[in-house]
Amino acid sequence: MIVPEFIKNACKVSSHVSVFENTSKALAYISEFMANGDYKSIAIPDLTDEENKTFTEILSNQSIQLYKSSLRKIASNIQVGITKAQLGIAETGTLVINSNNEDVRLASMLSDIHFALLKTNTIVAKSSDIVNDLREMFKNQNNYTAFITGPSRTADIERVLSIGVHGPLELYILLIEN
Amino acid sequence: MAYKSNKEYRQQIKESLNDAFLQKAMSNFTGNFPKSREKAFEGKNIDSLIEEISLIKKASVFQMSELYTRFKKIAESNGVKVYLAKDSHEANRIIGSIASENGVKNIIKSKSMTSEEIHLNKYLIGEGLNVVETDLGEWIIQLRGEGPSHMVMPAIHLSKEQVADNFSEVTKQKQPNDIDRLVKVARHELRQKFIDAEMGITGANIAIAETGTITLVTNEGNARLTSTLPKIHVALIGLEKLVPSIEDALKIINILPKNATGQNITSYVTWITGRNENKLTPDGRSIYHIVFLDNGRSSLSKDPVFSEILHCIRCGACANVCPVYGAIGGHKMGHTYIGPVGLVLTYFYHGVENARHLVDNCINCQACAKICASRINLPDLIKEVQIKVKESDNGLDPSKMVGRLMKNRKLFHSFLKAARIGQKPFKGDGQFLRHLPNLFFIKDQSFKTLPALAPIALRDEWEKIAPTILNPALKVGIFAGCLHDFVYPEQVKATLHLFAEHKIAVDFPKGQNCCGLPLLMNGDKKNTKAIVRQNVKAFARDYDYILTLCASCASFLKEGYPKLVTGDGPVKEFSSRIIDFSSFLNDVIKVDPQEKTNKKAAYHAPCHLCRGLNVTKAPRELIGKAGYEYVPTDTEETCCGFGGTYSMKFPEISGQRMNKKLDSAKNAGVDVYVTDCPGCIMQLRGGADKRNDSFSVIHIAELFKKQEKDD
Repeated sequence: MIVPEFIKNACKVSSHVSVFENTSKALAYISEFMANGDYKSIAIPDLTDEENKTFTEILSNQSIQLYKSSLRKIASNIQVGITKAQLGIAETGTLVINSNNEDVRLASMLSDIHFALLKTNTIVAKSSDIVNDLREMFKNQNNYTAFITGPSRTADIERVLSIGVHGPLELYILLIEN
Repeated sequence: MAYKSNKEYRQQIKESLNDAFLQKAMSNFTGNFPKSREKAFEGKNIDSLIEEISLIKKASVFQMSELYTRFKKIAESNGVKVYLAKDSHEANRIIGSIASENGVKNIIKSKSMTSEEIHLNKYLIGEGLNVVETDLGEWIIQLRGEGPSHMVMPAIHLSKEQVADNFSEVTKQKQPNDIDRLVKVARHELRQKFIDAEMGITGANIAIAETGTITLVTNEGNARLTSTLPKIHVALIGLEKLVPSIEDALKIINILPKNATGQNITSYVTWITGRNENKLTPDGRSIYHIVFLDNGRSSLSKDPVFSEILHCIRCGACANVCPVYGAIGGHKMGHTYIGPVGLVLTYFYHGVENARHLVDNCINCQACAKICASRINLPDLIKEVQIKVKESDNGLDPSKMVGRLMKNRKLFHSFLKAARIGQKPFKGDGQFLRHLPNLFFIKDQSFKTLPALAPIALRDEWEKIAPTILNPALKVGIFAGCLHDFVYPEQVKATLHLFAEHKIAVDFPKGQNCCGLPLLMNGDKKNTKAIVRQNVKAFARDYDYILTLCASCASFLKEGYPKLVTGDGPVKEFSSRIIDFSSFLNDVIKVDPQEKTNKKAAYHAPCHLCRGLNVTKAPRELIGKAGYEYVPTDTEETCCGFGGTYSMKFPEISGQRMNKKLDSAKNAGVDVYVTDCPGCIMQLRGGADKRNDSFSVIHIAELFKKQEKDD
């Protein structure tokens, strides 16, 4: 029941969640999304070479620029970013993204649309279940870990909820079953 | 700001009370908060979560300096530079030198109350640096040159129209009064600032000693950008944010957003350990400095009373439920830190001059103590600060004279009797004073009519009216308190037949005095303690219960006495026998239901009963047993604004709170507005009389008054 619980709680905070058999199908979904909008650039800092190749093939009939690194140089122009999440927390619909890599951080912070890939078998019930994972991460000399729950939001003006202040305007969580 | 006098402070308060937008914003905000919080905690045991946080913070504050040493060691082994600034001046100087040594011109900041505490922006701007706040609310108030009016929502006092004006000015084009659009303007304007800045300053919600990790809790994502885009990251952290372990941090994160804004979790929780990748520096890693701020925290952590204030996790919930905050907003209820916790912190972090007069602005309704995420007893701490401020006063304090008068019971009671004669020319129809005599330093109470002193005090007619009970099942001593003794004896008299019917012996020990709460509220501990002794002595007889019809007296006698006079057997024993009227009638006597009336009753829960003594069921059940239809109202447990001497110190706030309560009874269309505290009755009945409300305000005891048969 952990995965349905994750989906329910992620949707409650305006994340879009879809489930896919494998990463290729998820990438195909993103390609379709790109085709339906007016997007020119996409950041893919932590896709493997193989995933990168697959994605390039899928996108071949679109004129979209892929950026793998040095995202700082295009900081004001990252429309879409894809990153991987290492863990998910069902209780709050939260993604855990280990992002010591500067480009992973920038892709998930500066993009208007953020796609996060998460394997369903890495989802735990609650945050206390990942204490040991966090401890392993924080034992490193440097570590930048983010819990991300929904898109960027604020209620600073008249306490009215508004989505998309400094971070992504939309968060798509793509769950991968295998 | 520092207020020179109560009068000057009240002038400022009046401005807030007359600010129509502020009033609307405050009432939306405080009205919606309890529901969203309740929802966030659904299915969870709030009390045990709070208990856990309280224990974590207590243990952490106790070992604060060890945690700092541990954190520093591990963070420095990760290449981070860690500083301990002893005060604001030193913290500002350290951060200023980091900027100048690295040739910084542009600084971006994410929200940090600690940086507000030390007025960091002012210092850095004075050093010729460009400093831009990036939290939306903080940016708005920076553009306006204001301080935060709430710890979590710093611009809650402003309207979208005001924000649109500020944004139009900064973008040099007309911006619409549309919140989503305004948010996008901020996104666009600030994005380039992030990119251009050489240095980013953040605070931290938590610092984890075990791994040298800092934790940032945000919704907007600006703290992530602030700690990622510039080559230098400086984190400014109060020492009390240190905790031992990751487990502790997760527990705090579990409760903080729920208690702050009613969110399960914020959009972002960021954990930063060591120097992370940053391609702008020669070695490809960020330049990372952590400045811990002491500013009095070390000595506070060793204070047996005040160390508790360091348990605060800055959720801001105490302000959200505070009736004073709800009436006047944060700018008039704090220096930099606002709301109930702000009253205490202002004294310690910004000095006695900034706390004077400000710290008096607490009704002692206990709402903050009940909601606090780490169970800080804020009302008691505020009271202790009031005492400290009084002690620092030069010259004669009129409240001390009152204390000396009240401590001498006989003199105090003759004074009251003299006042009864003095009031004669002003008395109207017997119940109220129709014109205001200058008794008891009463001023500006025109929002309500004041009650007349009763023609005969309860103590003076007790022998005549006391029921005689043979072979009693229980023995009860009545603690009347000043109001039932001298103003409303009829409320006690209304119940005497019940004692006879249930074979309960009832007695009125004449040596009893005022409970002492008004004196303590005035910061007069010494005379209050003397009064405690008098009352404990007066009731040193074989009573099974000491019964009082006053919720404030009950809560003070039961909870306050043992806290004030610690480790005293007779005081503890006295307090253990105290019972409030509703609990006694409903749970001890188990009074039989009376005949149904066709009348409707709303209930006002006195602060000292529902929060002070956690009595909530008994009075509501009694309303039904008295044959009335109980009509719930939404403001049932909010304070009526009386607060004893509070209503005289801050009559404008007191009156506004009272009117809100009376409006809710009026809207419920009831015949009677019932409560179980004579202080609340004085406030609400006086207000209802002034407003000509159609319902009457009565003590719950009066619902059980023996009906005189007409035939």
